[in-house]
Amino acid sequence: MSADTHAHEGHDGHGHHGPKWLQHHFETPIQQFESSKLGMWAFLAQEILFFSGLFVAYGIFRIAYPEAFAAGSMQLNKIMGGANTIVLLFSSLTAALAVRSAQLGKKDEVTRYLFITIICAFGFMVIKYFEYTAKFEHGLLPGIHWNPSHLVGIDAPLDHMHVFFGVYFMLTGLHGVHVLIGIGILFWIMMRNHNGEFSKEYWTPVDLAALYWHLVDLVWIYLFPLLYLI
Amino acid sequence: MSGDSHDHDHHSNDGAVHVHVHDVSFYLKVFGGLIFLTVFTVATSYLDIDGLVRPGTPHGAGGLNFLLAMAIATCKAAFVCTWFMHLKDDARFNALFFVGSVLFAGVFLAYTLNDTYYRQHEDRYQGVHVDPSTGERAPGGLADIGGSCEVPANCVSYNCEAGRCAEFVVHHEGGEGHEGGEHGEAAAEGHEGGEGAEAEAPAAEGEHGAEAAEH
Repeated sequence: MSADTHAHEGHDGHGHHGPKWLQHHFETPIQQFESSKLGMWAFLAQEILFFSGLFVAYGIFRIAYPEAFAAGSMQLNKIMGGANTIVLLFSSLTAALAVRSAQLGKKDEVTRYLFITIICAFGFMVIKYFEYTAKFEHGLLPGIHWNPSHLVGIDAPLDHMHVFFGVYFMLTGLHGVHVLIGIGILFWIMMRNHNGEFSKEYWTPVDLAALYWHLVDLVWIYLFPLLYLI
Repeated sequence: MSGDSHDHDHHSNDGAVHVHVHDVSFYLKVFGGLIFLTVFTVATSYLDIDGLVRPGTPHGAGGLNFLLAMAIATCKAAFVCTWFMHLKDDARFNALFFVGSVLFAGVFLAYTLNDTYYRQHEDRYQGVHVDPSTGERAPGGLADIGGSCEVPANCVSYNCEAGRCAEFVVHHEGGEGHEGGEHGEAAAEGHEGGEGAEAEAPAAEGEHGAEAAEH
């Protein structure tokens, strides 16, 4: 990278020594920043469409089997789901504050806020683990694994109730994968920040990582009422 | 771009990134709003709003609980997008991109639900099923949404859930091999492969026999 920058400076007409984080195909930092942001938003738009398939499946099956969905939702723990919502919202706050600190060039604060965000992400996964374990133990699984042994609010399982759990595990599972990937990205950015790669002039990666994390939060904002609060 | 603090005092044409840095208290207020809405949506889920608005409505049948929960979720999503994700401060084109994807997800949802929900339903204005060319219900959709499963006369194995014929009646008379669908084609390929006609016929029969036993 540094070799590239030197080469660029060699035949650079206007005598500016570009900072080493400014890639040679961008004229100015603002151009690089705007391009990176648009690229990230295009990716996030893709993520929305990626999840939309499962949301449409949810819509089709909920309209087809409303009673089974209501009964299935009753098996989920609103308190655990609500707690996870608050954990994710809090992690979104700390991610936004990490970006704010990065904008001001406060390196140690960025590390601290990203660390809290990662801890919250693990907290989310721990609560999810307890929820999933309970469902496994009670046989509330999709398809051929449907073997309910413990039901809340109803005496006997309803027809098609396993479909609700199919949708539940696919939606929360895909979301959980995003949380795990998010942990990896946030950790990577935290280490890069710790190594002093970012400054008051250049903090785009912190911003983009936070955008990804906010998207994970956005998806959960809809999953929570759709699955837990029917 | 007006307000509390800017990280640069230079003029804005120097090519550097200028952003509006919000106060911590601002982010805390947004977070407070999000927590309030979360508690509010959980609280409303314990209420039977349909029953309150129009007594006697079965729980959830009016859809008001669902509409309220979705309205609250959309408020929360708007908070996150606008302030945490800085869409308010960003180039407008980013917001256009993102909102566009949400609109297309909406198109996907609306058209798919319109299709699956109305399959098999009688069109009461025209007195026909959804597929007017055949007078039969349109294939596909979910068997449980209204109507019964009618097996077409030329079908041996009918998949009611998928609403299509898995295996049609096979006519062994010459030239009609393709009515047998996959089996007919398989037999035709076998023929091209140069195998003897005597060997082919019993093999095909055996295949059908095995499948019949399965069904």
